[in-house]
Amino acid sequence: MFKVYKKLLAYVPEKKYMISISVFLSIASTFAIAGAYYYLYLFFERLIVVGDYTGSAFYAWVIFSLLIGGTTVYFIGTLASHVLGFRLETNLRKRGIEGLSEASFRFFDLNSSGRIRKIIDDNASQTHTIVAHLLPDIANALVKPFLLLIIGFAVSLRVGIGLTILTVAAILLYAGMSGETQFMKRYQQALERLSAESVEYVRGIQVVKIFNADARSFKALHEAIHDYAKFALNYSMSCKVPWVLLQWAMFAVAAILVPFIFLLPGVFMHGPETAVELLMLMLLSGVMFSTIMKVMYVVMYSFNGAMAVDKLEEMYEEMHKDTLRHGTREDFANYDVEFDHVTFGYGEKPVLDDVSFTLRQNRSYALVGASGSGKSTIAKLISGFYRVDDGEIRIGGFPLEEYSEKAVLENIAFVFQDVKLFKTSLYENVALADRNAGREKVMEAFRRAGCDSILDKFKDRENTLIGSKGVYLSGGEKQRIGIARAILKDARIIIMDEASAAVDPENEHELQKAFAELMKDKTVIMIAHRLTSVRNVDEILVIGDGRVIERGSDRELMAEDSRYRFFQDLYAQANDWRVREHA
Amino acid sequence: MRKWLERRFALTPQGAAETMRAILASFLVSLSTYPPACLLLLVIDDFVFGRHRSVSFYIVLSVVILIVILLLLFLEYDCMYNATYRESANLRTEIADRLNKLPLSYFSKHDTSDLTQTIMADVDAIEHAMSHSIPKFVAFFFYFPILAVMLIGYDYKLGLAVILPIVLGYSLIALSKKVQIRMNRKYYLQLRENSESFQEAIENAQEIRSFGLSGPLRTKLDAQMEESEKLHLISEITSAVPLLSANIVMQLSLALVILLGVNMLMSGGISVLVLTAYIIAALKIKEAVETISENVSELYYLDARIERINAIRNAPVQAGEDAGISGCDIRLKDVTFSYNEDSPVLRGVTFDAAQDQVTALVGVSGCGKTSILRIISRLYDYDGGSVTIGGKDIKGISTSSLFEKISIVFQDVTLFNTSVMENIRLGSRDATDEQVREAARLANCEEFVSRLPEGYDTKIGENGITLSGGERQRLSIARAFLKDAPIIILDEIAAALDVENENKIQDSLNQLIAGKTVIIISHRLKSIENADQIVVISEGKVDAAGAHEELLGTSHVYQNLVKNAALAEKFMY
Repeated sequence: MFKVYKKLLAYVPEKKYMISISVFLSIASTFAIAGAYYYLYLFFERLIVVGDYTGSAFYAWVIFSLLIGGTTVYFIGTLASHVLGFRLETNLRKRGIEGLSEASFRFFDLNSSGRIRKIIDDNASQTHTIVAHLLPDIANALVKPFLLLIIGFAVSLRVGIGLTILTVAAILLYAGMSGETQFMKRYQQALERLSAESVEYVRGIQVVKIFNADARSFKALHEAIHDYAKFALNYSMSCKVPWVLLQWAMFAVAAILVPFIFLLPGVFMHGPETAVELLMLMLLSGVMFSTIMKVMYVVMYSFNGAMAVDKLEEMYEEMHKDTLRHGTREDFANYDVEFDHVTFGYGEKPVLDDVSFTLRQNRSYALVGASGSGKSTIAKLISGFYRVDDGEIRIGGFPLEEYSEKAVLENIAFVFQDVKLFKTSLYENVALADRNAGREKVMEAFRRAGCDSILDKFKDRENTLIGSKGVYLSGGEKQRIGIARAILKDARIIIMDEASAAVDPENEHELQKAFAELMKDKTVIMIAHRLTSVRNVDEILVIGDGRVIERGSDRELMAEDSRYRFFQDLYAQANDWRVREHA
Repeated sequence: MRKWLERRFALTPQGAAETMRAILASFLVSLSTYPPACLLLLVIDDFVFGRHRSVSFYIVLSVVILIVILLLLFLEYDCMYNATYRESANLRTEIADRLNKLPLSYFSKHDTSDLTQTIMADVDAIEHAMSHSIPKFVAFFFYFPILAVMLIGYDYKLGLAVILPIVLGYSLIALSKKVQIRMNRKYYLQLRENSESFQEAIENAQEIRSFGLSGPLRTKLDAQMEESEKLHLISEITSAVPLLSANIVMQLSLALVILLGVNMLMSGGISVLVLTAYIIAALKIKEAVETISENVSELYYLDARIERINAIRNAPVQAGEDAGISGCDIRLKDVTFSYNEDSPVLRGVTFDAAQDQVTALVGVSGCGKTSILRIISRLYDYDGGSVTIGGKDIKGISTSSLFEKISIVFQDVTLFNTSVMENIRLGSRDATDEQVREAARLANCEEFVSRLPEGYDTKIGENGITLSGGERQRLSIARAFLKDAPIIILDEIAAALDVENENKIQDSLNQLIAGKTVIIISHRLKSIENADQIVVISEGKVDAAGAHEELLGTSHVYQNLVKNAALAEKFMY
């Protein structure tokens, strides 16, 4: 538990003093409340044993002040811990933002945006709870039992011993409440299975409906639901006896004690004293039990908090592991791209395995291959936002990591299929590619990328807003805006994912023209989908199983019995296929 | 009371009934905590004031009290946990059943993981509340008035001293809840804005980095976080003040009893014994109130989850009766449809897709052609006009009857974590292994299935994760072969595939659609040239319909599409 707090508090060095304030105030309030109980004892003694009513009125006032004072102080302590908790939450989120701006693109390829946001959002707010609400409670819970015992012994040795025995019994019963491990284990397994079945059920519901197959898919979920309920019940039943006994001891403590009283020697001679002792033992044990119960809640919530921190740190770790390194080199001697024994993968299995090749500047290259061959991965790696697992990517003779981030940004541009637009105007979305460009140049980029026909659609033209408060663009249109950005950026190396007809068929030709405009006099690496369009590029690299298996011009490759020719043939066939061929 | 429980906590009728039993048990347990206090008072009476009773009287009374309390506690535990886990199973089953009845449009509007969360986490929370909070909380409202009446009845001054501060404190808490909700609204709005900024920052991470925008964005987000921290603190403090007052007011209960009691004692109004009794009552109530406060916060926290469960329950199901469909002519007449009210997608679509013919839908993206397919298969229900199959309006046909006649092959394929064999058999539950193999062969699956470690018995992982896109699509075509429905709907099924896989699918496609009524959308215009009928959709309406040659003469939209496709095809960089 303390480890969790140590870990958490490392994120809020600037507000660490709030811990001391909060802990100090909580403990002070605990003393005040415990003091109230001690004065309650004095009050009863005066009232019952001495029979002095006037003197007891004084004690009544003391109790009153202590209770109110204690409650107020506790509240101030809680406020202090809230200040701390909220700052912690803020700092954890900031840490997340920092991680986002450092992580390599592999991290974003592997984790969906929704998932990343949820992990940061949900867990950060959970950690604030364990600091804001639990910190004072923990301080409270740790001190209170000892104070209660002290009061018990102050009342009398017998009350002290009685309270100690009851406390130990309660703690033992709590320990017994964790249930039997085998029940716990089966319960956990049932829970995991239920979770997996629910996911599969919900995901498959569309298919299940379309095929009228409900009975069977239901069966698996039903089984999981009922198994879970059964094991959960078994598990809770295994906790039944200790829990019931604990409650019993708490509620019925007076009835448990009364028969024993008569065993005490001279009980009738010191009647009033014994009565007060009994009364105090009952009151103190009641407070003791609820304190112990609170400790249990605290432990449980700290456990949840620990999981939240672990999840966050795991993700930060993952971001950090993939952090990009940048050097200081500003200028490129030339724009030749060189892969030197590059190995790269997203998980265990490498997508690229020991790939080496060189691409010359100012030439155009097309990457051809089946889906999953690694052609997109090669293109992505050149963007400079990935860290390779092994080997080196060099541009102009030097490793990519030796260049400054600015140099990489300015000299490499990429347009992939999933161009993302910001929720601002179309103009801003293009202008961000070059902050120094004037209006002229931005509009020129729109024009060259063939975006005029997009602007024509809206009455506000380039000032039209994108997104929830504005308009939506089709995939092909977004890609054309992406091309306008790249044109404005005017980088020497262009990496592009050719439009696949599936994205937006009627925009395909517009896109092709825009890409052609972008490619002029640049070093171009293109992921090709439409095999007819690449026949004029300078060189074609055929990628298969994460390796370059063939390279050459269209003419050269078509002349041999090549994989490339095989693809071209297939493409022609697919393109010429008709529904109802034989009709 | 039972109805109230059902509504308030989203319980099933059985669950509500059992919860009532648990509440009763809790109520009895709460009452049973007072006899030990009475016992104590008797002892004080005996020891201090000399009204002696026999030792055996005390012992018998103690033992009886102990046994009763023990039995009640066991009863409460059994009632609570039995009710809880039976209910959690029933609730989950009910939600799952309900989900299965909802229109498929529901699933395109809601995130899969959110719906799964409802089955898992939301029910979990209700489960926890049922076994911890609900019975105790409700029972408190029954036993507190009884206690209040008894305390006030015996001595109204002292009784009010105990009860009034508690009632007052609770009113303050209820009041503070309202203030808090108002104060929190601003903070919640900020939170939502934060979420959106976050989402955009993560979604656009690649753009942000590659245009060097990280620095300014970080500054902006950091400032936003600090702003919300401030708001959070303000809203917390405003709600803390009434809460603090409530707590102080409740502490008054004990203090007032003592002060008032001592005064009354001095004026001889009451005995020491009565005062002690009231002090014990005040302390006990304080304990109970503290426990209840924890339960209350759990219940407040439950509200959003209950709302989610009720949202699923109250979502409209699709109407329609089980009915045989004879004939497969599909007729659309003046069909209108929109996903949200202000932007109509279809503005009066009329065309017929004749039985055993291939009808292709073409048009630019966003023209509404995919919506038409969704409407014909009742993934969504149309707003106006009529859609009939074999002369029957599809809104009057249950989806299960409808899907007996229709096979749909989507671009996205959903597979289950079971064997290849079972995944295909989904197409027709009663099919023999032999029939499944035959369907797989027709769909060109044999080649890859034979490469799997255990052939048809290979488990393919969660959602078929071990298979490639082309393999998945071929499995889904095998399902359609096995199902052998007279109507087949194909929506861009090869759009995401590479040429090799596209080729393999094309091979089997013509076999699948032979002799069937087919509606198809394809991104390759050329591929649908031979369709019996091509329907050109433009801006939510039918621009023209007819055969390829015919349309070239009559439809500008079609001409343009064909021209663009030809240009794209001939283009070289």
